[in-house]
Amino acid sequence: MSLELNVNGEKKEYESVESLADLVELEAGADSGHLAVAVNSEVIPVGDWGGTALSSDDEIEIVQPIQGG
Amino acid sequence: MEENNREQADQLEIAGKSFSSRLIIGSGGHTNLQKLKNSIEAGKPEMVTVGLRRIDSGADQPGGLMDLLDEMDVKILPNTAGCYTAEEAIMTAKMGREALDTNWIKLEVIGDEETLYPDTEELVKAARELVEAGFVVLPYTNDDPITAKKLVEAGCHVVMPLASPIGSGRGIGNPDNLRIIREAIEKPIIVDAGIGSASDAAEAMQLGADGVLVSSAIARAERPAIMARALKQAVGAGRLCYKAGRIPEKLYAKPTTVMEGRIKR
Repeated sequence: MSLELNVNGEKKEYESVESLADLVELEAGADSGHLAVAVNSEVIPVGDWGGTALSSDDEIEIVQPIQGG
Repeated sequence: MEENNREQADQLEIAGKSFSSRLIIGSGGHTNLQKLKNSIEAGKPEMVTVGLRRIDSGADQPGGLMDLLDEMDVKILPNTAGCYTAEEAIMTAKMGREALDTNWIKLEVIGDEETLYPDTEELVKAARELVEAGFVVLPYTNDDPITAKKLVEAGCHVVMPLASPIGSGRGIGNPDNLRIIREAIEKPIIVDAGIGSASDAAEAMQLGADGVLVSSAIARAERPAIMARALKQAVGAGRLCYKAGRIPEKLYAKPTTVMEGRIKR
């Protein structure tokens, strides 16, 4: 079943994504330390990614720390 | 050693945490991580700011920033740089808390791209909500005593007025206002933005600031690590000067050698 999600402001189709953990792994790869993720403006703690199911049109934000002042 | 003991005794306290260093360094602007590392080693900050951006957004930088900061054993202070509304800033702060496991946030809510001046209405609103949500809020604000008071009333642990626009290096545009802010609030004041040189940092401290936050002045200096060292010393010197209580300014001379008993012909 395919899912259409809005990830970091971009609409994308996903074939094999069920949970938020699947999506983060796909988007950020194994290097997921220090990431923060929100679904529809709600920040989801890393421990809950696996248990967070996604539905079409969900808006996901995935951010990471960068150099900044 | 004696100098170290004195520094220990003169600590900056923010929300129950003590800092020996009154220089906070922004990690932004350094062209590579080795330079950032050198600046941190030279400036000896105990707190370093980072930004937060979407992954794969073009803001991606060579990995290893977090490894470096962990290794340097500094407190990491996420910022909300680039946010235009309270809503964006609150969301970013919550993301920072999750990503970095800290409830401290350098709150920035800007009004426009040219000046990067704060939108103080949105800033105060965001500060209030974040304090309510349990954050330790360090707000970047303009050099306005009234906004500073509102931020304290909102529950901010610190107020961070600008010296002049972010990245401008123009130094302290309105020293009178910084003095008024010093008199108006009891919370620590960190002068943030616009510091260009060692004398700017020293002046901020002499006016009664409790610390300075510097990014561009170090990162964009020709030799960042040397500038970091200069700023560290300037912050220390300015602090001592403030505590020493400087002489009042006068228009005319006043000798220290008594006039009585001089040779007269």
